[in-house]
Amino acid sequence: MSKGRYTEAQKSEVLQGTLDLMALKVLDTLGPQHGYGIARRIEQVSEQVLQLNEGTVYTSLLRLQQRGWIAAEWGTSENNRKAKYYSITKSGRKQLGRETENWERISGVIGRLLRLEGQE
Amino acid sequence: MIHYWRALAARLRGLFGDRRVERDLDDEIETHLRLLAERYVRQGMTEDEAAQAARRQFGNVTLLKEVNREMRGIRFIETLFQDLRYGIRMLRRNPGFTFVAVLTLSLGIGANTAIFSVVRAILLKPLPYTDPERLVMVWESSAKTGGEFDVRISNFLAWRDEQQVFAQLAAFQYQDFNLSGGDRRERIQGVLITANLFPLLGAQPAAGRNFLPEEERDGWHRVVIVSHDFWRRRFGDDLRSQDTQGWREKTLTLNGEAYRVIGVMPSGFEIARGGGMPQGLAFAPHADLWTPIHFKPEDRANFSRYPIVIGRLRPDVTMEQAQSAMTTLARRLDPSESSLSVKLVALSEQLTGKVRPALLVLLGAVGLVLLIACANVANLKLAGAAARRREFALRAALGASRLRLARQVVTEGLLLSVTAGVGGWLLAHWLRNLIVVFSPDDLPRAREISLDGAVLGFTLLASIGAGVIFSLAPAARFSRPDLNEDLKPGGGMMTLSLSRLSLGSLLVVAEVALALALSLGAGLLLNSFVRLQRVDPGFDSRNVLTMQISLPQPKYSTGAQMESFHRQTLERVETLPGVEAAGLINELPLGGGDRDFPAFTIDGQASTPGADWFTNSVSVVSPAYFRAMGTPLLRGRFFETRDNEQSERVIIINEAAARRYWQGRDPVGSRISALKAYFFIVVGVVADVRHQGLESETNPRVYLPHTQVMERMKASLLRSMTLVLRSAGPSEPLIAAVRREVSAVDREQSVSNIRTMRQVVAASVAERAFTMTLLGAFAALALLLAIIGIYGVMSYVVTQRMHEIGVRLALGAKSSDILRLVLRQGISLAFAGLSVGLPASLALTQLMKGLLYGVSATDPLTFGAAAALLTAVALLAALVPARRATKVDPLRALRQD
Repeated sequence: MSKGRYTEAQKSEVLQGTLDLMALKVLDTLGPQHGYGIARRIEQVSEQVLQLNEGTVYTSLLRLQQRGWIAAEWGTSENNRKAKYYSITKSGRKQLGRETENWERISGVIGRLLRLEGQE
Repeated sequence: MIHYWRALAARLRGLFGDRRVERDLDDEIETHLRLLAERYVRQGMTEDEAAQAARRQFGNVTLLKEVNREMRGIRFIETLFQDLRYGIRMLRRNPGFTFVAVLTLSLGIGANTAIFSVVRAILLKPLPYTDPERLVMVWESSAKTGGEFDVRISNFLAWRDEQQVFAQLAAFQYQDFNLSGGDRRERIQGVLITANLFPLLGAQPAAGRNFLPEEERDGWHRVVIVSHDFWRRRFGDDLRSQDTQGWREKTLTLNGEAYRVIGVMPSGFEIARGGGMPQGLAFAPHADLWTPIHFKPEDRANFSRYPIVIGRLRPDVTMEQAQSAMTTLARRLDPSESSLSVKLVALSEQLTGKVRPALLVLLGAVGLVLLIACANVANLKLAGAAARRREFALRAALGASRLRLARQVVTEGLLLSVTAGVGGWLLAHWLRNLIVVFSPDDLPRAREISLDGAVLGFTLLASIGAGVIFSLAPAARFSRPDLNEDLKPGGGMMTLSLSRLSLGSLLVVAEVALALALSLGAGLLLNSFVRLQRVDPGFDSRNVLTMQISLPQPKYSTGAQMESFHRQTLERVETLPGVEAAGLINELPLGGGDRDFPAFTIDGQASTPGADWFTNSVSVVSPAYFRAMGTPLLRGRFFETRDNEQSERVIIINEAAARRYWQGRDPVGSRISALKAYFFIVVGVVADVRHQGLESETNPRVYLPHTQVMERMKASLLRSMTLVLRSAGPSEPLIAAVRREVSAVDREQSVSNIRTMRQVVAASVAERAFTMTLLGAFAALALLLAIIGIYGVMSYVVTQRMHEIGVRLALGAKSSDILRLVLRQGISLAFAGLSVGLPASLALTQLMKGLLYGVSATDPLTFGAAAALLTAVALLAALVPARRATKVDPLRALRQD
């Protein structure tokens, strides 16, 4: 593996970590969704602030699936197409709780830090 | 941790079901793009614009797929290949280490594979019959003395009609035939069987048909089913043409009568074979043909035929129920014998029961050899590790996790052990052939020993197991590097050698302990074997030739015909130049067969306690037999030609009978009566002969002259006799002359089973010799490996202590002091191993008690010898490094750091 791709992967990992949390939250709130639905929901909530390559949602979904936090099932989409519906699992809910807490703590620290720096 | 495993499992799944998963992802992307595009169309874009916008919004599809594919497991495999490539590079960099390690492990794995293939064929594989677990052998037994005896034909016939516990009850009996036709005569092995025997076993002819029940009747019985081998040998035809074009009958001339060949059994079929039969009986090593055992009306009251009985238990009947039901039935049908009982033995137990302990001991032994090999390789890896310690510390410092480092070590270990597994597999083929060729004739199911899929699976497991075992110690060591010490240039020598050494020493101690156990096992067997060879068999096996002469029916139907043949043959053979004595006996000592003598009373005594049907044996001999065999006369006289049908019945007894029944009084001249109808005068006492095996105690035996056999016993006792010849010099050159003389008496008569008495004795202990040789070979291998192990550790110690030794030499130590220093360390390792190994071996040798003869499982002499041997071996292994230590140049050693 070349060095260039290694750094690239690391950069996206930060973003994807956040995306994992968002996808998990969406599935927790809205119930089973396909990838498109998740992308729409994130777009809607972020009010165009977050520019998302919607394909990366699927990487997140695969990762979540591999860890057993979400489950997938084939179904039919609104336009009558084959679509995979994802739903959060029990351990996924637990993980969501942990991650949410973690996120709030870190974002609190970062927020405080940024505010302090701004005052100077 | 659970998440880790789950992800790993998902990745492993990803490795295999890749294509479907990939199609699924394609579908998902496709749906997503369509939905996006439809949305843009609703917002007013054209179809083309919408599709483009959707792709933009979605991002790079190819990259996405690639990232997902990587996540699904390709990374995992890549790391594995990386480790493997690296491992191969390391192994190639140390060809010496690699060669020794692979060789050591190959020997261990090969030996394990070969022995496992034997154990699998003999003990694990079900017998090749339908529902083999319901097949039992049925024996007569005595409620008083136990034991297993073949069934009188009268009893078998009565049981077969009346029993309720078997789905089927069948019988068979070995009989050899003279095959004539064309100009050749051949002796072939036949088996007389009841018509239901093959259906009972679930066996069917490969071509032709089975026997019909009515073919058991006398007169209808001249039909045979032949073995596949015999068919090919005799007719050479392809069997398939027989099948497609219908059965074309052939005939064979057996004992001068025409038999119709009605079928051919499948290749490899045999009824049963093995050394597990009761003493005095043996399965024939092979069979050429089967023919109906035909019964005559008078067989209902016949005591002189003893078929082997086999039954298939009804599904709802247990072994115990069947045994007690049969005993009750047997006593009801024959009230005259109150102690008669029936004993059932599972067929598999009967066949393999006797070899099982030996095989398990061998399997345990090769397991120990493999453990020693593992300890050796672990040691080699530790010793060769000085250079790599720094490498691992460096990798740890750069952030490699402990798991990652351990994985590298284990991957390298597996690479080594699986390579050795391939070597072992090849070696096992060779060993298997060796085992099959040298296996004793009566090793059951030897033909089934093969290196099949299951054995390959075992080899793989053994290789992987070995790889993991010998990687454990190095993995534990390497994955927890002491960064400070290991990274120092030349550092860690003193401090680290301690932990390294203790681990290595531990391995050597284990090796010595394991090698001790193996040497002890081999030593005990060797000791037993030597003792067995020293047993006085009651005859002198030097320069004695034996051969069997079976007289065929109907040519020889009456006793007079057989006696005339025997008399003429003895007269001719006795006068051959070089022959000192020639005799006949019905069943040769150590030949596998024996006969019972009925209960008898000594005149003047009310009863003879202990003289039961099953306690006394009888042999029928010609006058010169004892001189030919070299069995000494202790009292009275041998038989003479004047003991014939007209004279008084005489009998010779052995020492055991004299001791048990006459208890110090002189038996010669006393009269005994058997079955209240036959009276015999005892004319002599001969030495005890180990008739049933060198290791079995001699039971009371009586000898009858062959000219005085009761008329109704003649057919069964005289039909097959063994000619015994004592010659002045080596007896083999006589064979041709004896054959000529036999032909001169009867042109069509052949002899079979030509063996010297030496060969007969050797064959009787062949199984023991076989086990001993194998165990001895494994012990030798273990010792060799232990030598390598001790040598490796001592060399390492000397290298490590070079500095110290240099200092000592510089301070004036003599080289003998240094020699003693190093040797003492080697010896202390050996003693540590012995102190662990001795108690462990005491427990282990208990398991082989059943294999020993005349020596206890804790024989102090053998234990002492084994301990001394291992001490000597340790000294030897330490000597070379010790001598190297004395040659250390103090200046150079001190400059090293």
